[in-house]
Amino acid sequence: MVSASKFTKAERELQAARPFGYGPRKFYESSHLVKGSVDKKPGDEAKGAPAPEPPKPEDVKPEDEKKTKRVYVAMTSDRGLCGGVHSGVARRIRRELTERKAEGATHKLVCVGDKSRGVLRRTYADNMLINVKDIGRIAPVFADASVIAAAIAESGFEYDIGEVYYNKYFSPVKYEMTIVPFFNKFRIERAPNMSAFDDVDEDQLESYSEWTLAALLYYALKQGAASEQSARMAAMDNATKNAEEMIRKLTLLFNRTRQAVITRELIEIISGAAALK
Amino acid sequence: MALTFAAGNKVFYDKQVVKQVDVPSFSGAFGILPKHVPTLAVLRPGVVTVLENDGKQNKIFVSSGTVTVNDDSSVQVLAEEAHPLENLDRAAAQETLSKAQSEFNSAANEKAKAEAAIAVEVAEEIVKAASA
Repeated sequence: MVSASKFTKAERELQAARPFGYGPRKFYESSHLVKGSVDKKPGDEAKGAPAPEPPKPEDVKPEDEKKTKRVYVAMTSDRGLCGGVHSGVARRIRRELTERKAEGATHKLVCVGDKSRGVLRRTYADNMLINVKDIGRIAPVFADASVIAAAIAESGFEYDIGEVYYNKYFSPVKYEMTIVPFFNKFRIERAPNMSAFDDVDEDQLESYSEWTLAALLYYALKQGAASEQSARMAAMDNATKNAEEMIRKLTLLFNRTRQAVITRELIEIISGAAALK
Repeated sequence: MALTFAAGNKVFYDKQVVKQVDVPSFSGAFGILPKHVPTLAVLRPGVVTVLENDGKQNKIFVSSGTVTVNDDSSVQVLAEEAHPLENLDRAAAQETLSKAQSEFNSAANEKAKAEAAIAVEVAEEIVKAASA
């Protein structure tokens, strides 16, 4: 019941956050920073169409791959008891890091929430950049995303490409691990279709990319919160069901024992009375 | 021209077709009509005016954010906080402004000073928007 009401709230608030994810992705598409269209209808995916390729930046050649500085943002929370929501994100990042033979200097991790940190800190201690705690107790607000974005900006790590790993919420029974990229201002400046855009001042572009990161983080936080609450609702429902069965068994045992005690006392009283005659 | 206008608190327009959008940005306030050249801009505190297709004008105050005009002539305005002009309370804004100003004067370091300066700027704009 508690998690159900929290879930309803998270889902409602997610509605307001959706454009925050749509806006930046639309820009990436029109500036050709990433391939693929964002204007797909949600129905296309539901029909079992092949899952969309994780957006790959177009202008990265394999030889650059080693030099590209990447930052991975794991969007989880501090709280567990919600199925595989957090471990899914952490596992995916671990796989990517292993595949890219990530070195500590060029691949950095930003762990939002204690759960991803707990999984990743042992194997990838060198890659840790920032840990963000106290996520998930109350519903995330835009200020939380701003704080994380500011921490990334102030960390002094100059990334080329960033990726936010989060659980995208579809329905109360479905969420999916999704990756959304973000870029620094130099990448945006060099975007293939940037020439179509009007000239933008350097500092404006910097503010723009920083603000966009905050917007994306906010979007991912909200998506993550909704997925987490939906998963927790299912987990809690199962817990209640399991407990019900246990309660039934224990109540039966309790009643039997109680009756046994009453019967014994009655026998004692009766046999005592009979002995007095 | 499809306008998406959202803030942390509310979605105002979701890919809705409108006639014109006026936004305040750090490179100056500008109006966006269909087939505007694609551009990026950072919003400054001020009033966004949306002229809907039926000629209705909608004025919304925004604190900060970004505006993106894409090459398919769709516009995304993302704001941190946004409220319709009629929801602004002038007295409360005045109060916030004086509080922000005193904070600005007592700010100890550069960062606190910059933060207070932003607060003053936002409050000033709210007062201006609310009294207009």
